[in-house]
Amino acid sequence: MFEKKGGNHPDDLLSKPSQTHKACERQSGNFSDCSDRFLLKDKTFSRQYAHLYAERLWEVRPKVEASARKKWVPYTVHTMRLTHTSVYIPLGKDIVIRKLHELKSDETCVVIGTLFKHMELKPSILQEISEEHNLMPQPVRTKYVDESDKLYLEDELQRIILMGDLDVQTSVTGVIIAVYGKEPEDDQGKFHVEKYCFQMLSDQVPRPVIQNDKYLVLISGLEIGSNEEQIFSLQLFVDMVTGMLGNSEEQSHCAEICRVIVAGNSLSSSTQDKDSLQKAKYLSKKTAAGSVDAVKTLDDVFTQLASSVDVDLMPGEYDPANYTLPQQPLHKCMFPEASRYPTFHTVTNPYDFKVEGVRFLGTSGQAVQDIVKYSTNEEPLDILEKTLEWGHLAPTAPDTLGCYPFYKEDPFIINDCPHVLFAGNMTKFDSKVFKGCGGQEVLLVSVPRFSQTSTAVMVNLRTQDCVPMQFAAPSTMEPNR
Amino acid sequence: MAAKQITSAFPIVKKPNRGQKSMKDSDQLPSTSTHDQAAVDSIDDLQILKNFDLTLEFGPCTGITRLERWERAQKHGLNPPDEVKDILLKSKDEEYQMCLWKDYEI
Repeated sequence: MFEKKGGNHPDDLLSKPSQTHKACERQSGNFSDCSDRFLLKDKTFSRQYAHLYAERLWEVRPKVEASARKKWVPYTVHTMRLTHTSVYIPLGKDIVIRKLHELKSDETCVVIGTLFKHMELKPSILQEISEEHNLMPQPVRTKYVDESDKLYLEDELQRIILMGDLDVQTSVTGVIIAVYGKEPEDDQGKFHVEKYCFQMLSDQVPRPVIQNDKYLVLISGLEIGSNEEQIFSLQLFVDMVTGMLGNSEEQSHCAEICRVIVAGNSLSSSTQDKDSLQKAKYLSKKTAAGSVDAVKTLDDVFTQLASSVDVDLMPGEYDPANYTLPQQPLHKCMFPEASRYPTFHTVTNPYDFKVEGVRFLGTSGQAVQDIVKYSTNEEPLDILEKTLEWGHLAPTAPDTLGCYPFYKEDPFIINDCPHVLFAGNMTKFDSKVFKGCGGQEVLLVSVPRFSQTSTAVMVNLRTQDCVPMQFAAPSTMEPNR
Repeated sequence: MAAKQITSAFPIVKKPNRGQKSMKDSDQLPSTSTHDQAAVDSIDDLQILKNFDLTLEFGPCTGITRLERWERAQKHGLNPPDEVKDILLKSKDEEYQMCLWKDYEI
């Protein structure tokens, strides 16, 4: 994994302890946290989600309008008589932007609003209640897409159905979009879309040039507490990062790791045992929750890590944190030993931070998994790319993804373009550099579940590329590359 | 037998309200005119606030106070009327601060 620069040092390993042995200093990275908007200041749940949608529309609409004006210049098409070629002649005026209640029939204009995808198979509490007498619950599916799904465009006052070039299957509810087209006279109530666009990605702050190699490690899906937990591989990882493995050359390479981010699901879903709720109280009085032992193991692991490197712990779907996004930091009382180190931090999900001038933004994967469920998108990198194009980290919140009822702001809107966008708990490791139309370059990383793949990801802050770190124990099968 | 009056066994107790009731009525008459004016003002103000609630351009109104809604509309450049803010800053009464549907849970 680490290229051998220069000669071997065969005398290091299995040699006598010497007085002149040089200690390795770990690299430190300039860190600043930008996740303040994800911390909940007050927790009032007696509000409707309409405020969140209204806030999203008001905040993103000016940017989408600017993007639309830049992209679409109204034109007419003139076909030359002799050569039979088409010439596009710009009309020299601006596009017309209308609200839905001001639409005129057969006028080509632009409308900006929120996309809503009407899905037949989407689980709905009303359907459950109305079918009570039949006692037929809806089956839990992996995907809720159907051929008959329709797209609606909603602004503050009205909604209209969209037909045309917009792909229904890959779209999701909650994206702010500008559509160019018209409502034909003979087909009122439907808007025929010719073109569409989203918010333009904002300009990236350029990365500062870093002299030495510095690495940041992303790991997720430790899933302690299940039968599939990889304790041995995890211990190998901890030993590697803390410099207990390898000769002095390997150790000096590991000293270039300046931070470790644990991106969610450190506990497994089996610790969220709901059976104890069904059993009688006298049976379950003495039994401890499954998560207690798992958290003790985690505390142990993080103590070892935090004694040597900065660790940021993000909550995930199965961790003992709140269900709605943004998930609040895990309480430090769960990690009494690790909390003694100032290098151990519990942070929010999603997490936005800067190390050595490189801006990172990432989630524990719930938003990506939700988009997989409600559209035909499969590849996590495709979805991450789409979230950058749409300009929103979690567009399906609050429709199908639990979300706190904000009213003053929508913190998931991507205002500053990150350098690295990551999502944890994906099925496999993958990475790609996304090139935006304004010259932005974003590294998209899909961090795999450690319990399934025993793989962590190392991101090089100097060159902005990443490599997987795979740990195979003799008893496990060889992981697929 | 001497004529026994019931009042020898049960003496008359003058209730304190009786006299004052008539005084209260007479008191109220001259002051109704000032009360009315304040009442009319408040009715006008409440009507303006109600119209502010019902204007859909400023977004949903339930679940947040009117002042918060006004400030949110101001932040997004929707030009909410200034007189609404003046009325809201005048009185801290719940009738003024909370929206029209404050008595309903969400």
